[in-house]
Amino acid sequence: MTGDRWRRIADQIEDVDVSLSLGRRFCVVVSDLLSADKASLALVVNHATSWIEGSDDAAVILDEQQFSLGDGPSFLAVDSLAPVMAIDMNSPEALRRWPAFAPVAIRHDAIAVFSFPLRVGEARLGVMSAYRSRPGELTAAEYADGLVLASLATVALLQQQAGVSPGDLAAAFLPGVTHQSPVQLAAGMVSEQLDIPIIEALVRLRAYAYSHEQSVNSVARSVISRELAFHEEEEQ
Amino acid sequence: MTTSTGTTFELPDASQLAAAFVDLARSVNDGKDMVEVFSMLAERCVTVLSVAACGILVIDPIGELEVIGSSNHSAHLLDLFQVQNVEGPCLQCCRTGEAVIDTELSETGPWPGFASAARSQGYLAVYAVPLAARGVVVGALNLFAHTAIQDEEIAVAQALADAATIALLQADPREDALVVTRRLHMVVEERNTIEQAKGILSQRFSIDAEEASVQLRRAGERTGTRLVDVATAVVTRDNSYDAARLLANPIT
Repeated sequence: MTGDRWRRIADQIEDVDVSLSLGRRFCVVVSDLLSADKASLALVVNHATSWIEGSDDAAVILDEQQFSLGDGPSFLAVDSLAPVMAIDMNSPEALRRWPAFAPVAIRHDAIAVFSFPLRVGEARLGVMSAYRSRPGELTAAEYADGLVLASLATVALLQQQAGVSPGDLAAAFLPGVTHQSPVQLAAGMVSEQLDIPIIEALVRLRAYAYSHEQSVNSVARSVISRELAFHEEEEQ
Repeated sequence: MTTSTGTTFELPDASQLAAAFVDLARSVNDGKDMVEVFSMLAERCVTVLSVAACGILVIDPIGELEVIGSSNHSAHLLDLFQVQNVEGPCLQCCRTGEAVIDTELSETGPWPGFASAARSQGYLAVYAVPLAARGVVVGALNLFAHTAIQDEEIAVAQALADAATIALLQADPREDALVVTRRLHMVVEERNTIEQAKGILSQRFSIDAEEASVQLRRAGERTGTRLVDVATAVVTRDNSYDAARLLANPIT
């Protein structure tokens, strides 16, 4: 209950070659924790990727292909907002389920694919995927790590979109991973105030928190108590 | 039934209890979402036990406690308080898997901040019973009372909690830890979606979160739609749903 899990993961990212980008370092850790060969992280807007990072170039290509084909676990995870586990791309079921993507996956030696949506409630941000060259399922512990990694990536990408400079990893990953309830309520209010999608409202809340040196939770409380209204802020 | 202390305790009668179990079982069978079932569990505890409020928290995949359902807003606030301040009976219950009883709420006790917050809400006794599935503690049910309750009532709360947890987490034919993790993650995300929708309605109609919750439920009842689906339609502004169209104006 102490959030040890994400601290452990943040430490692990810290240990990866610092000459790599933060996104790539994150993917290396995803790949490691899920016993995979490669991993990717993609921002998705209206079913198209706007940014992809991978542990290697092949991981990036695998994501790009899925979104250009409109087929594959990464694509479906964003669409369905649920984790998608493809355990054997060589199986007849996989070829039926992923008619366009399965041959591409096999060509790139991605035999098992595990995709986790980057989401907060109904706000969808993108997808995190891990690729293995051997068939088989994730263990329960790996699956749980996958969910934690996806939550961390979601927060880090929201922070990035809000213009929060990461500074250190703690700043990139730690704030606002938990106690989502008031933040989500406030995001709904801001979404209605400005007539913007919920994902944008979440970004606005974080940007406001950052520029006013407050926590996201305290900004959320001000919105809920109606001391702060974003449509009134904009007019000023 | 009267005790020597002069306080009157009413044990729930058998028919009330049976009705509570039937309601829970029916809601699971009807495909209600997990947030609805947990909220119903919280409400039933208040109906059948002599407690004033009830809140339910689950442990999310990150290992943090998330509030999923509560019988009213003050329980909700207290649950949040416990989570945010990293103290309180609920945390201990989740750590140990054992029920926690605090009828003192002393400011020199194990959770002074929580005790004083609970007292300020008028509560004199707090109970936490574990939600467990396959030996794994997945959360806790918190009961807030104006007077101490009987052990038998705690046993009833535990039985209701077990019924809801087993129904929800063992509904999946795959009997493994992965299923529990997946469903816990799902219930937290469903809760997030419902909170987002409540925020939208609370802004749209200038109402508070509790009234927004009532609006969502009414829309679900009128259109036969699950709460989480109503919430999704509201958040995505998907007017192909009757429920979303209905919520263009307040439902009276």
